[in-house]
Amino acid sequence: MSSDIAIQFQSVTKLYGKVLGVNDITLELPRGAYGLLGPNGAGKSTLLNLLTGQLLPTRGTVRVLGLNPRNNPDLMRRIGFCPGFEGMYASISGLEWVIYLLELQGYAHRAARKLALDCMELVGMVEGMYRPISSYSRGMRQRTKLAQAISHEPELLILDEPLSGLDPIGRAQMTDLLRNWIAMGRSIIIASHVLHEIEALTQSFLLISGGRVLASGTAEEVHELLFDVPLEIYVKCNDLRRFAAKTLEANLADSAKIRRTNFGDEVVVLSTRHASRISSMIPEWMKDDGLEIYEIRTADDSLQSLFNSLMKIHRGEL
Amino acid sequence: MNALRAVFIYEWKRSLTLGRMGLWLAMAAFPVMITILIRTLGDSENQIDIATQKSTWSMTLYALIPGVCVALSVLLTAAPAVASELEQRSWAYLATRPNGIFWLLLGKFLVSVTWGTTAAWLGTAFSVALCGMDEQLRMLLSLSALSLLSAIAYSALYMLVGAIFPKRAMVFCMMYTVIVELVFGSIPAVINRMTVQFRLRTLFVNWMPFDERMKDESVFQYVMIDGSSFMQCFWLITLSILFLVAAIVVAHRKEFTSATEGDI
Repeated sequence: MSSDIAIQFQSVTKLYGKVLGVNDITLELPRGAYGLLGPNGAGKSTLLNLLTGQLLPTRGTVRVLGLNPRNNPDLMRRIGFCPGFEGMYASISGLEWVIYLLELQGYAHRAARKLALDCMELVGMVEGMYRPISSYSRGMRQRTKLAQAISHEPELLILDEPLSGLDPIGRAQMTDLLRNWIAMGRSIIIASHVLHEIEALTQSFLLISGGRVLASGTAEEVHELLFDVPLEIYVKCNDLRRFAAKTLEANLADSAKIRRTNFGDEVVVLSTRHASRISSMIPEWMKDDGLEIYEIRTADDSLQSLFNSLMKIHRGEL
Repeated sequence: MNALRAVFIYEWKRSLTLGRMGLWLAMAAFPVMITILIRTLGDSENQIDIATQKSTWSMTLYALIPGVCVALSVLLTAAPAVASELEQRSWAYLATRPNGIFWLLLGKFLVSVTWGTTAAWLGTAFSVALCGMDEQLRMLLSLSALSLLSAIAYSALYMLVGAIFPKRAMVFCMMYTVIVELVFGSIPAVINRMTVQFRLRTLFVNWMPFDERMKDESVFQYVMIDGSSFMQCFWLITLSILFLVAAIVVAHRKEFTSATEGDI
């Protein structure tokens, strides 16, 4: 396998007894930054546990940086993991915790202390780092968790809900930190169920639900996937009624409504399964009927709309 | 070795809390209190010969110190080695370090051995001084060595049981001790040679002041062996290594995750 491949899943299934964790996942991700999106219970944590070698696939093979992650010390030197739960020793300070884990990573105490101090500063934990973890706020715990994950400068950072519990300022600081991390060319995979957290960091993502990867790629690639599934399209043009009539006459829309937006403009809202055909017809309509199109957009152009549509497809609702 | 040092120091620091120090002191005090009780309430009218008295004290102190004191001490420290990390959900942090589980278990094993042995040594020092027998130095050295061997063997054994059954580690360790070590270990058959108790008992008879006439009694013929101390130490160390290696292998092979069902 090429060394450019960060993560490879080959027909991976994980069963917990009769409960399905992940279902026949095959994917190959080059080095880079990826968001792993899915609702609670989608299989995100299972996927991350497979990546960190804590779980063994029931079927299939997992490779991380070209190596089998299960009980592999060579790989553990190269990855950093920030779990979604807390689990830090409450009685010691955040600094001691990071030092302890760096020593487990193989560093001598003095070197571990220096790295830990640098890292605590990086995550904005200088003030509270000598206090016991039990006295930390949720945000401070998140920062400490992130510090232990990045302290040994891993090639691949695996983060489970890293921004959960942070206040808006902390969230912005942490996002900047992770952006810098990505900008340094290091690989990262971030699991979250909050879309804007991922959107702020990367445009490459995997959508997972029911243990299956529903879609992967950039936001644009997933948009292409969705082009021919039912969508609500907002169109702003010079003759709304004419445009609506054209789409209905051509059987390209299930319904067309004229709606006034919050800004006082009027738009046509089309419910259609043929967005791609509509887009190909628009130049002809503009030419033949003198229509002037000012704006075309989906009802909600964020990742949320993609996610919702994919979930509906997966559930057989579309 | 940095990792082992880190685990050892950290786990010892954790043992220095008020509650744990109290437990440690209670373990050390237990044989001393029993010795004081025996000395105070013992029947002084019923005079028995010195050799029998010495043997009785030897057996009592052996049962109290390398037996109860050490076994209970290491039960408290070694049995929950895996369970405590799983319960506080710190396992994932440690398992994602290079050989993290290996160093964690080895470090906790060493802490368990030192915790149990130091409590036993303190108890030995006072108990031997209070029992009023001669050959106190011999008793002190023998009980100290037996305590160390007992701590090594039982720490490794309880670590294995704790790795196999992390959810009810202490219960299973107690069950194992009663069924295998006490019952099977006392059955006059070859099976008792597989127990830690059998080896410790033989060392006890070899090292402690013990009435030679009692060794000839039939029961002793079966529950211990007339072998060299070196061989008994060899078997004890071999058993301990096997237990510890098995514990580490089990912990590596099992899929311990801190994820709950909802985290799937």
